[in-house]
Amino acid sequence: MSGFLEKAQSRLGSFGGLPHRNHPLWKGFPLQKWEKVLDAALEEREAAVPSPSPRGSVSKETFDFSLLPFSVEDFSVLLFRGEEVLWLKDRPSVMEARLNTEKRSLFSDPDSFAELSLALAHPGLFLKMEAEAVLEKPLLCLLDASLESGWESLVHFVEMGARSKAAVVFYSLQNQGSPTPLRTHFVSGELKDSSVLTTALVSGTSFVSKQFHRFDFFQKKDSRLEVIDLGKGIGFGRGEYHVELLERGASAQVSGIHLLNDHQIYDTRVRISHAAPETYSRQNFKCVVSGSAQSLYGGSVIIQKDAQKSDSSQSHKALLVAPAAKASAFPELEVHADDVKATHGSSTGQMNPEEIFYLKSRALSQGEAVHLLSEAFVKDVVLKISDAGLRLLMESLLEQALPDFVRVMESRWRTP
Amino acid sequence: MLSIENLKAKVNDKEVLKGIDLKIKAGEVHAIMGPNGSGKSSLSKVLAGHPAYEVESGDVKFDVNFEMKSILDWEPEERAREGIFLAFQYPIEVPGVSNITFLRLAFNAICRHQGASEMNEEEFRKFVAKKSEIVKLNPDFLDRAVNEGFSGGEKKRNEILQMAVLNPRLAVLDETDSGLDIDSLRIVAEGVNRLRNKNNAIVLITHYQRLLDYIVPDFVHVLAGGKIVKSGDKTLAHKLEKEGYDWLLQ
Repeated sequence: MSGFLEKAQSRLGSFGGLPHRNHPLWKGFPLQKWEKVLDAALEEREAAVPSPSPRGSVSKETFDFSLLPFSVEDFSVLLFRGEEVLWLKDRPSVMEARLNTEKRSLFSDPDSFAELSLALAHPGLFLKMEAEAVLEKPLLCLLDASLESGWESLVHFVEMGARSKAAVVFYSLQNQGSPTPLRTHFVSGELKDSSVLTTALVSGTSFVSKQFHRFDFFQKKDSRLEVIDLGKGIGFGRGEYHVELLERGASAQVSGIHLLNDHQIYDTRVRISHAAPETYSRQNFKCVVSGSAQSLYGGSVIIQKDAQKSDSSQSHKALLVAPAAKASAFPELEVHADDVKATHGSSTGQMNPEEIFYLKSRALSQGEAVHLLSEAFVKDVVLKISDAGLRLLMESLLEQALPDFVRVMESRWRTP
Repeated sequence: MLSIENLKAKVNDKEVLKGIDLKIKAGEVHAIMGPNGSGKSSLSKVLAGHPAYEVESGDVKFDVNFEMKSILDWEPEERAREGIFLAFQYPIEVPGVSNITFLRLAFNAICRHQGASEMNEEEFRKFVAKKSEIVKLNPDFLDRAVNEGFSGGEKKRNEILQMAVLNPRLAVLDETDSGLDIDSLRIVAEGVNRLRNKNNAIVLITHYQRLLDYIVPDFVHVLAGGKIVKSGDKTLAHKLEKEGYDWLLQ
């Protein structure tokens, strides 16, 4: 026995236990289920026997890119596996990219779960862009949890120098034939003056996948952040986004698409704080929910007293395509300045049966109609990605994910 | 090609078709006229398989490979794949779905069913550009969302474009003339006439004689109270235009 479980539980105890259901960012979240997931993850990790050659043999030459459902031609590629990082393709010279061995992170108001995950985490990416540096190709970080038992936790840090520009994708590789661990990813960083970071997280590898990720970013003058979260079907998961717009002109666009089937549950929580004048934020989340899946969303925007002439909007839309599918939303605005634009909106609806009939009357099956309408529903999120490489990748992944999503949905229709 | 036998149907527990009998052969154009609420649009929806309509009795048979088959248990897409097309009175807007994508998916679904070759995007764009000329629809419309932001006339022309592309054996045009100005009416009617041939049949549902000046029907039927109360040739439409429906309803 490694004593891991005992250490983790003791650690969690020292942080005050799991967040309480009254915590504003955990409202409505199925905490009891979450506790079970965590307990199982900890126990599995406790029971795991370390392998004598734990890292296997993977190299730049032998890595099988055909496992990926897209071409990596236009990407620089890094692989994270266990506690190792390996450059697979096109290492750029304009940046420092290595293991975040010191586990550097910046959290805004971390809760006990974040503290625990960080304590258990392996080093992830440390990316440092010098001032003026521009990454020509997006950086693709492949996250391989195949060597992990129970719980894979990685902590990444991104430091964007003034006027630097980069696009980074975190892509969770599917585990082949092994139990799916709980995956937690923490991405935090700082955007200095006029820097631009576009970052995406692609996840959802199986119906039993369990995932938690958290983004924390602190932005300086005129910096621009874009975050997109594409979930292709996560068994049980949660994504948190915390953005602090600290100086004039900083802007953030946080968006996501989730396709949920069967009994999947996904929770999205966003907290954006406007602390300086003329700051700008947009939230745009869309989810298509089928089976008896459940989507949760909590979006909070805080416009502080000094953040005059700030502009903020948040939008969450859920499309329910089955009678037992559910969506809950908790949008919140807290405005302390008097000269700002701030809007929020949330809608939950079903597909219009007349639209379905119209498409079916033109020879499309129910599944094809649902596919087309779901794609139309979520597509604007992808079209708003400013980085062309990332936009194309997301379009391609969505094109692949939707048929799978509809196929599962159709198979459930056929099951009495 | 189509045989409707004592068809009775209801929607929201209200009986809207109370025993319709009608036979349509290939090459024929049938006009169905009648006062508001007589069941004209209900008939078109039942033929296309709208799920809100429940058939209480009777049958609808359609010629499939020289065999008359009941279609009442078929899904709307199965009917469409066999060649039944409904041009909607109020075409539905489908935001976010481009016309060209929608049309190509529909076209290829029918090709697949019929064992014909599907078209790739490039081939299809050329094919559909030619078809657009039939209804004088600017090809720019192909890249816009289906019917979104279209005027009433553009929506109706778009319906006829779909008909041209999908090449149905039976087209039911539900008040395709409503909301059209004179020029649009002529364009739509000319489009339908170009698509008319000896292998297909057309059912025109209309309130007005004026459409029938452009698309001359072989038969005119008057639907009232959910039943066909009078059938005749094109002269019946002229009589209705002059005398209204009262003489038939007394």
